[in-house]
Amino acid sequence: MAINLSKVSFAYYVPRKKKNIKYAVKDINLSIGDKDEFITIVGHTGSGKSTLVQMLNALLIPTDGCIDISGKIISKKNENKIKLKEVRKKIGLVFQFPEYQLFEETVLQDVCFGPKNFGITDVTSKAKKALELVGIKEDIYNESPFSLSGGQMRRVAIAGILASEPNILIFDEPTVGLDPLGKKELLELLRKLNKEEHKTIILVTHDMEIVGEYSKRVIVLDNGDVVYDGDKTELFKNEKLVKEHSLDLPNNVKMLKVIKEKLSLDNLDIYKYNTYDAYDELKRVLGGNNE
Amino acid sequence: MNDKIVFGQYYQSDSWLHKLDPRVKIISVFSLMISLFIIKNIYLLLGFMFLVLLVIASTKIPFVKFLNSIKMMTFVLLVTFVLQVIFRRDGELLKSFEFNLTYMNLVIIIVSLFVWFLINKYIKYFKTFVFLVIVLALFILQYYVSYSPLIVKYNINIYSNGLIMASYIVLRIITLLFLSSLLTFSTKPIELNNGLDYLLKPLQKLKVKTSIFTMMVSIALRFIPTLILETEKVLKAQASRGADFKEGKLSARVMQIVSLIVPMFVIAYKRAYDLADAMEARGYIPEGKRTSIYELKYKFLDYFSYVIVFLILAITIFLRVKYAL
Ligand SMILES: Nc1ncnc2c1ncn2[C@@H]1O[C@H](COP(=O)(O)OP(=O)(O)OP(=O)(O)O)[C@@H](O)[C@H]1O
Ligand SMILES: [Mg+2]
Repeated sequence: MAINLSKVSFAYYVPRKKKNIKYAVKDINLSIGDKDEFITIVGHTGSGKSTLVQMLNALLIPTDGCIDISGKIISKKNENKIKLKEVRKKIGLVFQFPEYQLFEETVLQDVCFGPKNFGITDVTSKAKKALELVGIKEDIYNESPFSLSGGQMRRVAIAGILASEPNILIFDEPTVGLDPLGKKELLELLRKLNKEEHKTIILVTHDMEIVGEYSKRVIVLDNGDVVYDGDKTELFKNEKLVKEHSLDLPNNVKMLKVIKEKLSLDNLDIYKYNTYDAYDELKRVLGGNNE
Repeated sequence: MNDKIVFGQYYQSDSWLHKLDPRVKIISVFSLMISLFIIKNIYLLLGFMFLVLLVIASTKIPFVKFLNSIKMMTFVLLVTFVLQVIFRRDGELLKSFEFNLTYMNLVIIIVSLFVWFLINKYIKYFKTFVFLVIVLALFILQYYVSYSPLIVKYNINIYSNGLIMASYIVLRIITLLFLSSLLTFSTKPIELNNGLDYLLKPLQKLKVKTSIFTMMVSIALRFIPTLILETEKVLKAQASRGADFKEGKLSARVMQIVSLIVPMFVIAYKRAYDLADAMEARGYIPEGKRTSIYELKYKFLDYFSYVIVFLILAITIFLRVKYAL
């Protein structure tokens, strides 16, 4: 296991008397593999999602408890001994609106910034590979990042993280402000990184469609606690849990559920997240009825 | 969303001073500063300082905060004090010290100062204090130890007036700092600005566009917390790309600071444009007549404060003119 959190708590502000501390994240235990996982983190506003993912990348140091990132212990005690760069090289974090991190003169130079900082060799070829992966054409490599469109800027920014070749990629609400096509392309890119390059992807999102269609494992946060950690279908089956934490079902599931009730199709499996899968399932059940 | 970020020095409390009209506070602090500079007599100054301390005590603002505000000035204050004590030569002679600067002492002084410059980076707390102890120790050394050949003998004489003048100057600076802290601790920057807006209004008759000036100040104030938040975000984003603002070669560090500054400019410009559009969309005209959401109205306490403050000013002027105190 690559990341292990044990009893991790975090407070943005610790009063001197250490009383009534308001924790953003409290007593979290988690383990996350460094290969092949596709995890979404959900929970309503202020539940601590951003705080949690920033700790995974050692941007925030836990107030209590410790995080083990492939053998490197991150805790308040050894705060000064942590080799931050080694941790951040393995775990890439993409913030919301990553386009605001662009600053270099050309697109290519900007993508090289990360790998250069981490002391990686072959910086340019890695940068080019990352740019290709996110679908940026070679003819704008030498343009200023500020002359690009919003969607292109975001891709360049994401390439800036990919270029350091981290094993684990964390995205904090990456699709906000993208058009439907851009959103789809970004998510497909993540799927590709997960399937082909075997990267672990962690995605913070409010969008249940993404949870349904892309992730395998879901972590639900509520008020700084992990209230669910496991398979997405198991979560959606537990309707009480879904309601309690103000989550929702993906549209496909909702639709199949209505169809199942109205047509009383008892053996219809409603947990199909893709339209085509849903269609196949309906065909299977209905086709069976007609014969 | 994030009202936790307090900038400036405002200290939240519900004391009478916090409730006072910002105009009263601004004018009072200015008048009291004038009084402070008029006072010549040290006992009168002590009395004035006592009054200021009384006000401080009545405001529920921790005294430590006031001490912190003079902390930065400690060194300057001490140097002023010492120079005054050493170089003023009137009044009666209180005490005379004789120091022996010998070759050995000179070597010790040079070595210890050198060591200080090497190690002072590693001292975290009480830096000034440690330095003063060292300086004091070096003088004690010269006072008592006189082995090895002598270079020069010198005297430091302390006179009564030197001591009084030194205390007078130091006390005056401290009181001044306390007074200005009282204003900044008890008044939010936005209130200060609003108060200024009202006070500067008469200038509008002279065709000075004071409202534009105060609008600019209040926009700037409004954006400080936002920009702090944005800086934090950019800082984190670049840190996760391996930027390291503390270590590394100079050239790399310059690049990393650039990686912070450029996005900040982009964000600040974008914010400014957005705000300009929003203001225009709501029909903002720079010269337009506007009412304020924070209408300022004098209450009893405000008039009372004016009376007290002007009384103090009048008394100090009177004493100075009549008795040269
Ligand atoms: N920089 C900060 N300073 C102080 N408190 C903060 C800061 N950032 C977040 N918090 C607090 O920590 C708690 C968790 O915030 P966090 O940003 O992790 O929530 P989130 O789940 O990411 O919410 P959202 O879905 O809105 O992004 C909130 O109560 C928030 O007020
Ligand atoms: Mg968030």
